[in-house]
Amino acid sequence: MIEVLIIMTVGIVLGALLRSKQKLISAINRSTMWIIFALLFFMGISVGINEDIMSNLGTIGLQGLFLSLVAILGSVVLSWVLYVLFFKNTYSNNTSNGNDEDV
Amino acid sequence: MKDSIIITLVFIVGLLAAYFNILPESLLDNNLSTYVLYLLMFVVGISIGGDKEVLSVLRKTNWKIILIPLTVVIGSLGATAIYAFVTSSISVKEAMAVGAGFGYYSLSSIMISEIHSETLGTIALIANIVRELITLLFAPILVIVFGKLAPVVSGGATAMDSTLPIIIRSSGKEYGILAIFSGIVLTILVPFIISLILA
Repeated sequence: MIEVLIIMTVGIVLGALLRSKQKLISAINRSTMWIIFALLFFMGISVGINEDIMSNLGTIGLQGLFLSLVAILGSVVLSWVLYVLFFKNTYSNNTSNGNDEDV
Repeated sequence: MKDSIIITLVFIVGLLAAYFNILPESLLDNNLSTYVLYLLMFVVGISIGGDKEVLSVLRKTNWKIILIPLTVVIGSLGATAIYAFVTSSISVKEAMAVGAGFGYYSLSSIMISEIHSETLGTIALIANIVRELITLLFAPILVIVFGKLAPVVSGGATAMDSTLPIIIRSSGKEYGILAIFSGIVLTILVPFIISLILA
């Protein structure tokens, strides 16, 4: 998958060169979502034709859920340490706490 | 939020269509998703390189900002490794590869499917979509329990785009810059770390 790394690097360099053409950049940004839709559709297809996965979908789903919870927990616990040590006092002013509305 | 739901639906539609055999043979070509992935990586690269904010964000903040994505890497990989070791339900390498998606489900799931197996790729897809959804749903609660950096690290790679609005809303505007920086660094790291773990 070295191709992925090379392609992304080429994209970053090209993006930096195109930085003055913000209209083009934002048009490209908007296309991202459609590419992700296509990607996930194809991903759905390869999962759908895979008998191994389809017959174990419950187990696979639960494993995914647990790994997600664990990864988030590990990150937020560590971030609490980082927050208390370095960020709490530096970045504590004028915070908007409008967390009662949906985004 | 809307996007995650549409993405999940698109995935399920593809899955059902393939499962019930209602698709033409030409769409079942595995290489299609690889080419679309290449296109996605190219476009993501252009957005990162073309972002005017990136440089000014870097100038505005000090070295401590690099500790945020580092926290996500150590926290996600460490915790998934411990989970695998304790439960023995998955190998340590496999669990860490899933954790190394940092919420970037499209890239991580396809890469893992190609390097390792489609089963692990599907686990990565679910785990990383859930990571984004949990961040969107629980960001305000995460702030109360674990402090204002919590939604930034919970969002992982998505902190630069899809979870950015909820991060700003729950942690404050000044955390938006930290979130964009952390998200960009993690987005670039995902393919490297997954390749390293599964090499």
